[in-house]
This record gives sequence, structure tokens and C-alpha cells, in this order.
Amino acid sequence: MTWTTIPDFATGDIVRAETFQDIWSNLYHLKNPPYLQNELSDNNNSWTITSTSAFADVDTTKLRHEFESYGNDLLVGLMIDYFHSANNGIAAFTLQLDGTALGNSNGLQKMYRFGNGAEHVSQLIYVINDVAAGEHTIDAQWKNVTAGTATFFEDTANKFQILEF
Amino acid sequence: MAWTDIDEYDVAQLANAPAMASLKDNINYLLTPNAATYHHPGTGANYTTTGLGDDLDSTNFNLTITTSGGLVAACFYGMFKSSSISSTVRANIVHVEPISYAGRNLFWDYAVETNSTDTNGEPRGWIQFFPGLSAGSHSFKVVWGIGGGGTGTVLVSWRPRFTVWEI
Repeated sequence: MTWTTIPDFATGDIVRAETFQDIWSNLYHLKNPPYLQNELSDNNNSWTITSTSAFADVDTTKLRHEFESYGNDLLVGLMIDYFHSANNGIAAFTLQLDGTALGNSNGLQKMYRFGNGAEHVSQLIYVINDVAAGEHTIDAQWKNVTAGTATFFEDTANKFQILEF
Repeated sequence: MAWTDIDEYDVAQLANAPAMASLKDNINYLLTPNAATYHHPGTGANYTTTGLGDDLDSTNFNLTITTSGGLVAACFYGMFKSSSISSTVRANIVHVEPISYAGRNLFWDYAVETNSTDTNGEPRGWIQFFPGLSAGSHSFKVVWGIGGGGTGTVLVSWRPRFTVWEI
């Protein structure tokens, strides 16, 4: 379903069936906005990173969404289990839209292992304003910050989602 | 308020009153979609748990909406506290399904967690989406538990809030 620009009306115009249909189609778009969700629920799967140099894609299938925007804002949600091999170990996370990082050189957020704690769920909710109409790719990226190995685990409730609104 | 599906329009077909009424109703529906909220008044006893997969509050943090089918979003905010740094309070929002609800309440099936022992706990707020739901009545609950023993607490003075709405 595509978004159709409705022409302006002038007094005395007769509304054509096609225009009326476009109005209805646009309403359906508003009722059913683009939404994609990858379930990260394979409890046997994980990703690791040791490099502290540059952000890298986590997984170009499970943590990537390719979508067609109608030119609105985009809500991005990530829920994933995080662990670091070192006590108080830190990793950083960012999003990349069409090859351009949305965060600064430190990313959008850091993830911490508190003390010698176990893995825990890390959450990111992020809104990208005014995404241009057309095809786009969004990637989740990460890098290590402190010495050791950072790990993402899939777990039952984890997800990577986008919703245009 | 319900969403009304319509048939395709044909060339030269005249718009009639029922079609215009449906158009109006659907626009109003998009303005105020089906939704429900519980905002705790902030008084009374805190919520506590020593179990795994308990209802936070089976009466209040248990919201039902009637949807037109499709995507539903749910959002919870609250201050969570653990009795011990070695114990982890965990919480999730579940779609109550007659068949698989019990299975969805598993200990490992959670969206957020914290082991904060601070007096005020630690804030946790999150959104969960439930795509592809059928048209009709759907209920959503906040469930929680604590791993590692001890007691988990949600501090009501911070007025936890739960909202579900149809997208």
C-alpha cells in the first residue's frame, strides 16, 4: 500500500471515484502503518565482539530491517540480553540508517555489566524524525569499549522492531 | 469505536451517506484509537513478589481493549527495587491468551530487569508490540518476578502507569 497525495479541491469540484479511493487507501495506511519485527528468541544463539575501534553490524539479517517509508517518523526498538566478560565491562550501541550512523563516535548508548553481575536485558527506544519516503535500511551496530569480550544473547522475549508513525 | 472496512469504489459511483459516515467514523477512530490506561493513584502498599511470573496486579495492571484487528502497543512505567544486589527483578507485558498464557509467563520471558537496591528503586519503562491480533477483545497484563531469591518491589508512590492502545 502506498501513500497517495490528495489534490486540493476547489468549490464546485466533483470528487472522482479514484480520489475517493485514494482517501480511503490513505486512511488504511494510517490504520496499518509500516511495522517490522524480528524475534530474537533463539536461546542457543549469541554474538560477540572484542574490537574497540569502530562500530560494526551485529547481524545483517536479524538486526537489520529493510523497509519502505512513506516519509514519516520511525520508532525503533531493540530488546536484547547483554553480557561482558570483564567485571564492569562496557560496550556501546548505535543505529545506522542507510549507512549513516545516528549516534556520535560513542554511539547512542552504553551498556554496562554491573560488577560481576549476570547477563541482563538492554533496551533501546529511539525515534528517527522525518525519514524520507522510499527504500531504507536500518542496522543495529555495536563495539566493545573496555577490555574483554562483549556478548549479545538472544532470549525468549527479545526483539528488534520498527514502526512508522 | 470500530474500524469499518469498505469496498473499492467504481468510476462514476456516487458517494452515499453510509459511505461518508464510515469515512467520518474511521477518521475519528484514527484520532482516538481503542485504548485503555491504568495510572496508579500513588497511595497504599507497594507491590511485592517473591515468585516468578506473578501478576503485578491482576485487577488494575490487567487491561482489556476491543480491537479492529492488527497491531497493539503496550507501555509500562514503574520504579522497581530488589532486596539484594544479587537478586534480579524482572518484568514483562503479556497478551493473555486462553491456551498459551501460562507458557508466556515463563521466568525467562521478560522485557526488563534490575537489581537496584536503592531506596527509590530504579525506573523501568518500555514498549511492547503485539502484531497480527484478531479483531475482538484482548487483555494484557504486567507480570513480574525475582531471580536469585529475596523480594522484588514496585514502589507505588511513583505512580506506575500501564497503557495499551491499538495502532
